[in-house]
Amino acid sequence: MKKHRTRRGVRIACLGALALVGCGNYSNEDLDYLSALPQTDDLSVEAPKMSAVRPAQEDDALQTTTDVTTKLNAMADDLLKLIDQIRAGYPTSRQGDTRVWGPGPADNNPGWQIEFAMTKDAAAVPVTFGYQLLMLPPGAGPGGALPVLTGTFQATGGAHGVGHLELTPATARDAGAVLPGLEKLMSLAIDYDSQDWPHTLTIDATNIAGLDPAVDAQDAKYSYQRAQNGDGAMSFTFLKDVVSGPMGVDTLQITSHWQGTGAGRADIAVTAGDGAGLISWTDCWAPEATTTYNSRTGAGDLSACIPLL
Amino acid sequence: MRFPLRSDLRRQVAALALAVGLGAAGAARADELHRFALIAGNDRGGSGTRPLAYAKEDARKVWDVLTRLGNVRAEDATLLLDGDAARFVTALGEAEQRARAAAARGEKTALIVYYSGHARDGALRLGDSALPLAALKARLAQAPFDVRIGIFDACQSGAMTRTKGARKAPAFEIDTANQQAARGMVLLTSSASDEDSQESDLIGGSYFSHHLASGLLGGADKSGDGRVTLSEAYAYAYDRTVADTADSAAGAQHPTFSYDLAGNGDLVLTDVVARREGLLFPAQAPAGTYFLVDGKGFVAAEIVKAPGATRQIALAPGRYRVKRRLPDHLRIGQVDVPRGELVALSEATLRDAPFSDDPVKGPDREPVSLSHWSMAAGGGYQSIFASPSAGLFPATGLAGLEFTLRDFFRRGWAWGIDLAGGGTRSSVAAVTGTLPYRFSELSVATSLQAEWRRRALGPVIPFVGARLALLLMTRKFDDAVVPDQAFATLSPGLIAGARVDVSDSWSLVLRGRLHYLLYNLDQTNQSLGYWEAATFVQYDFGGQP
Repeated sequence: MKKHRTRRGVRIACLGALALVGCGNYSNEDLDYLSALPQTDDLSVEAPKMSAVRPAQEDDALQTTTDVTTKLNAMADDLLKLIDQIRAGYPTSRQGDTRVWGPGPADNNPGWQIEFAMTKDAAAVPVTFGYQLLMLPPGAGPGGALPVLTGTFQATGGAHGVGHLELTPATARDAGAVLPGLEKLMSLAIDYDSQDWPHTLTIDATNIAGLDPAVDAQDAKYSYQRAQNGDGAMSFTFLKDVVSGPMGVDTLQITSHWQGTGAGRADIAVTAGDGAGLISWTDCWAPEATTTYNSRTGAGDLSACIPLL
Repeated sequence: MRFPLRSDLRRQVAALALAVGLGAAGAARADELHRFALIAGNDRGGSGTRPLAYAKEDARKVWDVLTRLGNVRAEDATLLLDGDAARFVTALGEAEQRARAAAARGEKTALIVYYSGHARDGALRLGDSALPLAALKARLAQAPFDVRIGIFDACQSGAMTRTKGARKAPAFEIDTANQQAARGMVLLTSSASDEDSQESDLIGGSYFSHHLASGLLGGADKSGDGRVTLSEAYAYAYDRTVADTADSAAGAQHPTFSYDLAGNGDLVLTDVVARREGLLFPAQAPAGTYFLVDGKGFVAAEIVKAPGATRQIALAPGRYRVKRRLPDHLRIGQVDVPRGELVALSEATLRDAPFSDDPVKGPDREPVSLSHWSMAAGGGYQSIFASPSAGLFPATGLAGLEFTLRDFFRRGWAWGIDLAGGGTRSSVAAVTGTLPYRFSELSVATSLQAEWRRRALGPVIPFVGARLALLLMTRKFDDAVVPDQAFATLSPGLIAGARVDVSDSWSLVLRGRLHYLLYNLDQTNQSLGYWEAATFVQYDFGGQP
């Protein structure tokens, strides 16, 4: 997506403005809107702390957990880049409690327009914002706009607030829009709460039908929480062939907990596949990332595991 | 060379004028010629000369009279202040070009060249440049105008008239019998070739130009027909100049003329009745010399009123103090000349006053400064009024640099450009919490100020003015997620303050500003205001404090 108005654009506009009216983006009101959009801390997952030198035999569950956090953070980065492009500009329209950026041309989609609109319900307690990213196909009127991203935010205070956003690329994609990186995604719903500790983040992704189940899950759910002292926990589904059989890969439900020191544990259950309902185990790791206990292999001692958070 | 002379040496001498019996029929009408004027004044004469105090004032005065009363359109009159010889010649060339165009249209043309400033070694000295008198005279002789009038108020300017037709005489005779259209050249100089031309603090100008201007305003209208001819103006200026300088330390100054006009001899230089604006001395007004002093203490006109004669003086609209000197006291009063009205002076409005109340302040009048630049550096504090800005822009300190051109457009006026920058830390409350930021401001502005130099105030010079600033205000938030914000706008304001001279060149400036700021980014426009207080150290380049 192309930025509708950039900071450079602000400067150029200002240089050209020799009229008695001012120009720019210096607005306290705009700050409320810009602050209501998700931020890095809202959408990112803080992986278990690990030493710089990783051991040769890194705990398997820890590795899975960090791999998933890396994947989630990459997805969050992509989403935040989109949002930051909007945030970096200034509204092209300010009317009442509505701010609109655009419409402007959409990158990778000749003839398409893109528009971002935010509303503010100042009377609500807490103050609530809604926003929507729309794509307009070539020649479409205002009624033909296709929502790609919708969200709400409640300014409850605390570190940030409570927010919900949904990425729904399917409709625009079906209309011919090219959305790099979102080819397989049907919908993505994110809820975050940074009002009080622990902060929470849940992600529910649904892929389009017909994907190779050995590579892409149809649905993936991630639930993460972070305590103020650095402790964290995350539940997620994961595909791995742990029980050999005709069904191929198994679906694992993993709940990981870790402390600020880096020590952690994962409670793992096979929920689909050849071992569905048959196998579950606990895997614990030390701050040095080495395995301290694995109930499936019998290695180590349960007493070396951290308690559930 | 022309040098300043304190005019307390002024003496009355016997009038030397010869009556020039010109009837209206003998004078060419003012509106028959397409008139052009090149008016130059230069206080500086380069090395070996002392700066004059009033040359530019003389030029302004003559420019005003000719454009108001002399049938010279403003677009045909070039006022050249402190210009060098090249600019003078260029301006002359432009006038010649326009005259050729006018001639092509079948118009008769006239050129009036006036110069006030230094002359030395046979050349006008315009700053560091020189314009040889002989060359200038030759150029004028060849200039494509039907009539060329050169008026030179400079030391030894009589060198211009030493050739054909030159006479050091109170007036010249005009052949009124010749009814053909006038053609030729007339040169008037303020002094003879071996004399200095003098200026006076008392009258605020050179003697010659002062009396010439007074004459053109109507004082020289000896015929009483409401029109001042070239010969009338010269005779008046001659008489008064000789009288005023007879006992001066520099010696008497005798204006000269060179007359080489063929055809309908005399020329009407000004028409003082056409505008019906100014001051009327009725026949019953007591005879004597009247001084009409403008609001700045300068003698706008010095009029010799003969018994039983009526005089109309085409003063510019304004308020004037009137003085008539009697042997043991003064008669003084005040008169307002509204625009477009002719006001009759009533003796009843004058009152007796001692000599100490003389409105002609002379040396006590504010001194005349030469135009010059000054530079100032300093710092101050700016604060936007809390209501209704609600903390939109924080108060901040500013450091600044100012460049000011003084006494260029007008004495006591200062036109400046200033640059300022500053910043502070602040924070703003958003719905998600407080956002700290770094605020920065840059401004570039232009201002016009009026200064009051009064001896009574000593080294303190108060000033007021107006300013227009281009402001660029930015803030950078500590939270990198929040984008930088910027606002640029033009902001008009008022200035007041005082300058304290601590030496000839150095001053301390204390200044306050009050500005309007329209904030129009959010949905509702807000009229904001801010004040500034600042202290600057100023250095003047070459001017008189």
